[in-house]
Amino acid sequence: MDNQNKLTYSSTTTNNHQIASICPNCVQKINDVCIKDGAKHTCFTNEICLNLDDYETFLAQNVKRDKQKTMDFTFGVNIENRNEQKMILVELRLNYTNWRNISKKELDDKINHSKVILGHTPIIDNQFYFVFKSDIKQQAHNHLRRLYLNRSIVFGVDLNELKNLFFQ
Amino acid sequence: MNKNQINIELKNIRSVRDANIILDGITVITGENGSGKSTISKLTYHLFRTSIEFEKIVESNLEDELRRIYRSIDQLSKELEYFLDKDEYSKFRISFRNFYRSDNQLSLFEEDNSIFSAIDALINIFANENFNLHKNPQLQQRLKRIKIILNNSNPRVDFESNDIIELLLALKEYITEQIQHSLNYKENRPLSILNDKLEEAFYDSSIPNTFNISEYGVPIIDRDKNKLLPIHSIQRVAYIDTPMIIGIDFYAERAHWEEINELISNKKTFKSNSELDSIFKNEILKGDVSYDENEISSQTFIYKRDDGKEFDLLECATGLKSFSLLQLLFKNGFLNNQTLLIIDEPEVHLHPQWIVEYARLIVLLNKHLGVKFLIASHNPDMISAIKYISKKENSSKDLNFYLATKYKNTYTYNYKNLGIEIEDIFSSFNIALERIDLYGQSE
Repeated sequence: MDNQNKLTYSSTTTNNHQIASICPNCVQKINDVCIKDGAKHTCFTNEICLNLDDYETFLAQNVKRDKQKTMDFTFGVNIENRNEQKMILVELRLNYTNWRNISKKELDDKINHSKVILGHTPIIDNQFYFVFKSDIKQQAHNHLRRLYLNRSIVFGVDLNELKNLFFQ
Repeated sequence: MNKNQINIELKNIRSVRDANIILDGITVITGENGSGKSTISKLTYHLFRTSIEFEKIVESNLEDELRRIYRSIDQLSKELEYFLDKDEYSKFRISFRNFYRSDNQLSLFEEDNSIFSAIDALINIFANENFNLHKNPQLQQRLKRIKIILNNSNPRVDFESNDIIELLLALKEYITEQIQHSLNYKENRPLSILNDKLEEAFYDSSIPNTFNISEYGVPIIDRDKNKLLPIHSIQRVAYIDTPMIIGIDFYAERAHWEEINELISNKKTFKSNSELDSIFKNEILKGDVSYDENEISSQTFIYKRDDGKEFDLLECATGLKSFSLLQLLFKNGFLNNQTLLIIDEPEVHLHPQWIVEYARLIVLLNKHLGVKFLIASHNPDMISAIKYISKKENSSKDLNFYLATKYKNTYTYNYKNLGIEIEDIFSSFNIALERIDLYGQSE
C-alpha cells in the first residue's frame, strides 16, 4: 500500500455509517468482537467497529428472512491527503487452526453479502482482511492468495498486523 | 551426549555460515537461491558415501591403477609378435590373456594376483636365453619403444633402469607397494581419501575443513587422528538432484549421477511393504517401471502402463521419471531404515497435485521403512504437505525444517532449526506475493 493513499482508521467515519444509526448495538469495540471470536487478549483498546454478524441478525429478524453469512466486522477509514472515506471488511478466524478448510465459495458469499448490507456509502475497499492467529497467518495468507489466483484482494493477517496497517 | 542420531555441521563453507542439521527422519532445508542448500546436500552425500563405501573406494582406486598397468603390459606382450615366431607368440598370448579373465581380476589383494603372473610370464620370455633381442638390429628401435611405453604409461613409477627385466621387476615392486598402501588405507581410513572425493565433487573451488558428521554426538571425522570413522546407522546413501539423469551415460564429472544410475540398474527385487507398492503402482505411476539390461532394443528402463502398453521411460514425462526413480529404489530394496536419501527440489517438473503425492511418498517411506530424507525445497505445497501428512500419519517426531536466513549484509546464511513449525518458511515464500503486488496491477 503506498503512503500517498494510506488508509487510517476513523472512529467518526465508523460512527457516521448508516448502520450505526439503524442498529446502534452493532457499534462495538474491536477488542470485544475479537475476544468473542476466541482471542485471549488483543492489541486493541477503544477502537470501534460495526459488527456485521449482529447487523445481519438484526436485518434477518426484521424482514423475516434466513440469516446469511457475512464478514465479521467493518470499520471506517480516511484516505490520507484526500477528503474521502472507505469501509474495510474484516473476517476473524482466530479460533481456526486449520486454514486449509477455507473455501473460496464461502469467502465469496461472505464478502458479497457484506457488500449488500453495507451499501455504497462510503465505498467498500476492495481488499479484504482475514485475521488469523500469529502462528499460522503466513500459511493462511499464502493459501488465501492462491484461492484468489494471487490477486491482491485478500490478505491473511494477525491482529497486530491489522493494527499496524490501519490504526497507527 | 547428543540425543540425535546424526547431525551434520558446516561452518563458513561457501554461502553457509553456520548450519547444524539433524538427520534423524525427514529433514527439509529451505532458503532462497544461493543460500547453500545444494552445498549442504552435496557435502552430506559425499561425506556419507565416502564413510560407507570407504573400502570399496580404496579398492576401486587400486583397481584403476592396476588396470592402467595391465594395459601397458598387455601392449608390451603384443609387441612380442616381432620378437617371437608365430607359434610361440600365439601360445604366449593365449596364456597371457588367461591371466586377465574377468573373474581373475577380483582378487586384487591376493599375493598371487594375476597381474604378477602376467608380469612374470613376460619376464620369463625376456629372460629366455633363446630370446635374442640382438639378432635383428631393427628390433632395437622397437625395444626402445617398449621401454618408452612402459615408462610413459607408468609415470608414477620411478624407473631408473633401461633393462626391460629390471623395468618389469620395478613394476612388480611398485604394484606390491600400491597393494600395501591400499591395505593400510583400508585399515587406517585416512582423510586423504575423503579429501580426494571432495576435491572431485567441488572441483570449481576447494572447501575448508570446517564440517563434520556426528553420530550419537561422536564426530565421524577425526582430524587429530586423520581418520574417517565408519557410520553405523546409515549404510546406504543416494543423492538425486534431477530426475533427468535416469539412463544417461554422460556424467559430466558428477559422480552421484553415475552412482544413482548404478543403484536403479540393480535388478534385484525385494519383497517390501505392499501398501507402498500399491501406492506406487496403482495410485501414482498407473503402471510399473523396470530395468531390463537384456532388452534387445536400446530401451533399458521400461514403463509398463496399466493398460499393458510399454514405453521407453527415457522418453516419458519428466514427472513420471521423478516417481520412477523412487519406485526403482523401492523395488530393489535400496530403501530401508539405514538409507539416507538426499533429494534437491523434488518438486521440480511436478504439477502441484503430484508435488503433494511426492511428499506423501516421502512421509510414508519414512514411516513404514524408516528411510531418512534430506530434502531441499522451495515449494509451499511440498513444505505444507510434508508437515501436515506427517502430522496425520503420527510421524512428526523426527521431522525437522530449516530456514536459511541471511547474515547481516553478507552473502552468507545461518540455518535456523524450526522444528516442525513452518510459519517462518511461509513468511519467506510470501515475499513472492508482495512482489506480485509491487510489480503487478492491484485489483
